[in-house]
Amino acid sequence: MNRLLPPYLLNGPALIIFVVMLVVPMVMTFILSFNSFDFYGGIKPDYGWHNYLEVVQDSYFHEIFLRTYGIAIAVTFLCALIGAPEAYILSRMSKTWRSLCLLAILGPLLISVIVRTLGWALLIGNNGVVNEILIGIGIIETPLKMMFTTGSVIVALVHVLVPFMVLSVWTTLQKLDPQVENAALSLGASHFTTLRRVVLPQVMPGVLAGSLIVFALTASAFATPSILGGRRLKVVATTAYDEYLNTLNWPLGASIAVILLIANVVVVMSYNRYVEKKYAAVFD
Amino acid sequence: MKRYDKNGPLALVFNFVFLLFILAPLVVVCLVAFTDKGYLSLPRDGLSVRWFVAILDHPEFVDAFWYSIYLALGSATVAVALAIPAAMATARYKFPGRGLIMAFFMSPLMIPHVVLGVAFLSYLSSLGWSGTYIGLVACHVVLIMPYALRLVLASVTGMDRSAELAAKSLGASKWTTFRRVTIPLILPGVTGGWVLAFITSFDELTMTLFIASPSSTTLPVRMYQHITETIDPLIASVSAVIIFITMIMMIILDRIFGLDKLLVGK
Amino acid sequence: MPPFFLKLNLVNQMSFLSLKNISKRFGDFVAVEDFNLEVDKGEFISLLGPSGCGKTTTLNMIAGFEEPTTGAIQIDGRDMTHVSPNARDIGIVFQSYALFPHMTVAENVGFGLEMRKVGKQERRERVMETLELVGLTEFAERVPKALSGGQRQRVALARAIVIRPQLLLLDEPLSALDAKIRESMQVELRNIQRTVGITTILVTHDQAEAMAMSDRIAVMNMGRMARLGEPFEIYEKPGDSFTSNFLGSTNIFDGEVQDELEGQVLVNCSDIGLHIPGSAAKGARVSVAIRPEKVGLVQAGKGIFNAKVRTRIFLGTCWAYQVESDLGSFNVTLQNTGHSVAGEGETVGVTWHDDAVRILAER
Repeated sequence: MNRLLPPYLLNGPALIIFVVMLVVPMVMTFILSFNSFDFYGGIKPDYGWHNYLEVVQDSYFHEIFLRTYGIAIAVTFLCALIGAPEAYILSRMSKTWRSLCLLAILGPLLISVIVRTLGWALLIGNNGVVNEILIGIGIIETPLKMMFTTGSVIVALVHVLVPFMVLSVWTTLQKLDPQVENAALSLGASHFTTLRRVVLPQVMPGVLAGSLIVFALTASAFATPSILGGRRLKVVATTAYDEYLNTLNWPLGASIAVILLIANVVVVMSYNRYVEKKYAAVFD
Repeated sequence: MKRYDKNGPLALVFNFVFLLFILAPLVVVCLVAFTDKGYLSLPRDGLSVRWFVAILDHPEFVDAFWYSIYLALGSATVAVALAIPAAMATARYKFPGRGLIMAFFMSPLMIPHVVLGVAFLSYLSSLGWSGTYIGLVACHVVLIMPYALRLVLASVTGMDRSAELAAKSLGASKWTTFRRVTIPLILPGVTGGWVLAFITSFDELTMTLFIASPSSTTLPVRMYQHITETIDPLIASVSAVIIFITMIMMIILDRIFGLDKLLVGK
Repeated sequence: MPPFFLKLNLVNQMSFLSLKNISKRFGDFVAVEDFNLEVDKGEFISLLGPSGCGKTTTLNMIAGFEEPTTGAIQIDGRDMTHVSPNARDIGIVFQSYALFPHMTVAENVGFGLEMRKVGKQERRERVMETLELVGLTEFAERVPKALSGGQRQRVALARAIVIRPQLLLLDEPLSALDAKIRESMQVELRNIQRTVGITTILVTHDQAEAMAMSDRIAVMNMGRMARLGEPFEIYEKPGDSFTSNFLGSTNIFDGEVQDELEGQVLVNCSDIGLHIPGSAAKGARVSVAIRPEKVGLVQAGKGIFNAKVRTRIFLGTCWAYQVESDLGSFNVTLQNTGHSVAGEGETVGVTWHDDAVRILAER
């Protein structure tokens, strides 16, 4: 007993905070999601599946969920497509250039999402820089409408999240034996074959891990879709926000949040399982 | 062995376009902030700092900035204070539930911020803590704990324990060993964890949006509210200030820790 | 590019691999300077030197991973200086083995054959044949992670030789292994090399390894060739103090040439006159070297000069002495013959055969 006491005492303060500030609120939200709401009477303490049924049955919510996960898949795919090659290029750079480029790519992670999203709004807005330039040099006469489109949300989210992909692949690449590429070349493989047969399979765990982070963060993204997607292009996170702070239907908002959380956890867990099963035997 | 750039021209073009993509939005924010016009525009007819001066006429941004700083200072400090003993326990003891407790502390990473916001909103209002500093700090501590813990834990597990044994063999007491050997050895990780926690708290928007009140509004929340109404050069200049401050911090961080190490958590 | 007639001249050379005046600079740093080497077919040559001496850079240039700043590389009469590594037909065993972690042993070994479009059936046969040669047939379906260091090393070797390359390069192939396994691998590697008859270049910093395995050794120092020759020859006649020290421990004294007669010189080292085979100008300052195992200890007064034993260490097969004399302190290694020997503090006589002493070139 004496040996077991210290670790629990050391963990104690953090555990108490987490129980009081995480477990209790989450459980309360879960309970709240079964309550019902009346526009005049407010929240009623009765219990039922009606909020979940509403989300499952209403095509309005179907569209929102489909849009959210569609965007998540597109963003994840694009991040892998440009982030993985970039990480590889970084790994082949001379040291000075590499640290500069890494600084430029990872640095934005430390800048609030709101600032980065604002940058895109300034670039692609109707009075934005892109339109200003295009009109200025006479390519178009009326501004292109890019704000409030799914495409703009996807591009901006790729911008916000691709550093995670670069970081993830970069970490894997650092574990790669630099001689392995030379070995493949010396055995007669072309540069392309070396990339495809030797480098790519070894960085796949990094790509997959990065994809997981990007996917989960896109599915729960709020600021970027809210600012660049506007009122009409709703995603799950903005819908929950609206239910809470505009419609004031907290129980419905809570059930949307619970569904989002469960969906994320399920995706992360099953994906982790799959990746571990596939690579445990091969890599350390 | 010296290593040289092994990239071909195509790769270098790719790298250039990629960096352009990453930096363009930030550069545009800074450029627009320096416009001399009264509306959104690139500073074509000369640079002006009028929109930076204008920030001072909007105390709501200045107040929100300071509130964000106080909030981040408080929550990062509490988070690190909780993380150090927790990391010590995990790194130094074997006990039932060790992995589970770690997963528990890391779990906020898996929870979408909007879900945390939803949960904290109703919880704080039922406690009567809505919009209080204590309430916001408590919520932020949970959110940033994983970042603090990851770096502190890495430094505690990565520490050479024989240095502690050496100190003890030279006659140092338990407390002296902790103060003179352990603390200095884990200090880089602890500082890194604190800084990362501070930045995460300072930048947080989504969750804070739910729990902030008019008297306890953070800078990102104030900016979001402003942007949903109007996008003008003022918000660009506020953002530019954030970018400048972050850039200075980033360069210092990179010098001390290496940015990639800090973000990977090793 | 050398002029046409020079090139023609080079082709007529008989050696299999030839490095002509190659140098490599990285910015201001000179890694290899004016390096020449001719290797015969089937020969086993070691590039030996301390880290940073340019041996790995030289290997990388032969392999094609680096291009020489100046000079030319020829294999079997063909100019290879600017040929890319995947067209050189060279097998390489890397220091880290550089196995493909995501492929099985058989896939690793078969990779080079696959790149050469060898049919599936033949590929399988040759892979198994080679795995048998290195004694790993039963590990064919394992991944590298599941193998020991020595086994990984054999896979790397099998992967390099299965393609029947015209040249085999070994980059510190044994440095990651334990001392015991390393010694048995040295013998095995040498046997396999003889069986296959492949021209081989070994890069190593371990002089014992180089001497045990090579037909000839090229000692490198600061990017240049210090000495080239057969192991026994360069050990016995190292030529300069660097080679002498690097190939084994050496006692070196300074002296002045007093007289020269009939292939012998009389050197005065701290007022002790030594007769040494060789030639040098009268009055020249020279370095004189003798290896510790060539020195004998006898009764005081019966040797060339007297010395006092300072330390004596027992090493099993031999005794290691450090003795103090007018020449300064120097090391002596005596074979352990089972008899007791002089103890610490005793005065002894130091003796050697005159022809065991060398005069080293001034650097």
